[in-house]
Amino acid sequence: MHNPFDAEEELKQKLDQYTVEVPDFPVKKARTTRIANWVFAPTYIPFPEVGYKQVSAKVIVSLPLFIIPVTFIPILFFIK
Amino acid sequence: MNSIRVEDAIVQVQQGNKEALEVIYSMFKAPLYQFVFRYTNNEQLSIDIVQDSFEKLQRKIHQYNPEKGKLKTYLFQIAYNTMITKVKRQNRLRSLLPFLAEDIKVAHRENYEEKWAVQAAIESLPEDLRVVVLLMYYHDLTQKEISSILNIPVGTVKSRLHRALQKLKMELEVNEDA
Repeated sequence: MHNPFDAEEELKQKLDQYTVEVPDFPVKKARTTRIANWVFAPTYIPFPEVGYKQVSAKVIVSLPLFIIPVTFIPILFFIK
Repeated sequence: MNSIRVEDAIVQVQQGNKEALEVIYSMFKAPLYQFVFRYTNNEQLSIDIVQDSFEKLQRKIHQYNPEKGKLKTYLFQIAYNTMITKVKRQNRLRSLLPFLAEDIKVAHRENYEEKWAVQAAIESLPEDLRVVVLLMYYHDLTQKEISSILNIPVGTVKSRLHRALQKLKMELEVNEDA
């Protein structure tokens, strides 16, 4: 079958410059590795399809530290 | 690695030999990763998709019939479907939570000017045209194989290729008469 790229030498030369290096990764996802990466490696993204910003992730992680003390504020009104 | 060994590996995987899957993996890991990376431009997502594709291959290997097509075509079909599902989910999440979304397209670009230009040109193609160029040019798949991977008629593959070539030539400023 006719390959339309055959007649496009200049375009082929340009397209050939887009090389991709393949990183080393195993065939299966190891659950322990995923958890370890999630806990220890700041670069790892547990759900990469979301495309988190690093700052946003930090805000989300630290939100409970802010929310927990705030939830105790109403209790102060009942303390005599 | 020749085709006999591929077929042997398929039979062995079908018989439950998990080591044979490693043989198939070593042969197809690189092309699958390169295809997915050129499409998504996201390293972690590409790794995830390749690993998911091989998990699916292991589950569906009994459905694979060598008479219907090459293993390469079958694997690319699995990877493409997995990738489309994940990309759609990503786009949905981005539209719901735009403040969390990072511009991945910028994050993984490299500094080599010419390579960057080609990467940007491919990225600028609409998704339906991009996939056809990637499969045909970078992975030497025939128009018939591409039509079976994308589940579209061969005529549509041809017209998409034609449009993609025109757009690429315009983006990369390639002389029409070359």
